[in-house]
Amino acid sequence: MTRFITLFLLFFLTIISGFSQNRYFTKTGLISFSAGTAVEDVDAVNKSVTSVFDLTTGQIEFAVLIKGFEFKRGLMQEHFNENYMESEKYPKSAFKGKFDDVAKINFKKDGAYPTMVKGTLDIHNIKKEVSVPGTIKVENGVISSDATFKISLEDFEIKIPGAVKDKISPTVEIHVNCVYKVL
Amino acid sequence: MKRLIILLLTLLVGAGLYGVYLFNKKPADTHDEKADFEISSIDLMKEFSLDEDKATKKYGDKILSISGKISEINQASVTVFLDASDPIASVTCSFYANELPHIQSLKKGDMVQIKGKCTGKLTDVVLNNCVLSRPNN
Repeated sequence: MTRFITLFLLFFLTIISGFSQNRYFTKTGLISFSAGTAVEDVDAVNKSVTSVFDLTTGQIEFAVLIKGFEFKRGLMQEHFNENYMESEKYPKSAFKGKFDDVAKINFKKDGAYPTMVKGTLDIHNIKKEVSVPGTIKVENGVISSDATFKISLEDFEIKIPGAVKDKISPTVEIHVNCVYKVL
Repeated sequence: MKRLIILLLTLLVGAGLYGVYLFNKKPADTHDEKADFEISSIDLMKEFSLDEDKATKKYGDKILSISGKISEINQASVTVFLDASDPIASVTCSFYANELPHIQSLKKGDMVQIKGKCTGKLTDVVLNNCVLSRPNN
């Protein structure tokens, strides 16, 4: 009986340790965006993005606090929060998705692996299915994710008043960069 | 009449300059701001775990002076994590990039007081635009 329990525990521990080694996370990821036009630059960055990445299943998640986006100009930051993103009502944005071909990535070998990630993007409390090209990088054993993609403000019901229409682009370019650690 | 025109022009130019000033005004600098709340990292986490919506409304966009024990330092992102007596969640304190020299003098286990703007909670409760108010190790 004791041997059985020991075996069971060993088996269980192997599963747990195997599981945990394949889950990676960060709390200091970067998301920046540019929504400017030729008339005005509208750029912001958030340096406290949370992301969890499971190497076995290829599942990846990102979450970000809207109030944490920093602009160069105070008024812009205020309008972004109060008028466009309504951060009091919708304080977070998130993405939950999965890599197409995570099995093809060799996490033990340094390199840049281009890939596609499919999933649900939640901005301004509107959820959309998206497919985004990205790159997984392995550098000296450190794993990072990198993606640049565009979204349309209309898709996420973010309304831009007529007075600033020429200053804010209807499509916004988003850049994501996360460097992971073992969970 | 002439005097009235001059007065109006002065007002217009003044309003215009004020507009330019407002447009270019930078976001508030935490160094110059007074803390709205003084709280420990453990108590702050407790409030967020108990009722996240309520805590987000109370602390969101507010300046917090937070005290706690450093559980981790990430120099690359100029971020200090404060222990919140939880196995996964802590308090993320993201500093201004030019505060890096101040962070480099800190180490894990130090008791610190940090001032920053609360932006809400993901896994961690997050403070942004942080500055060190008092290292007392």
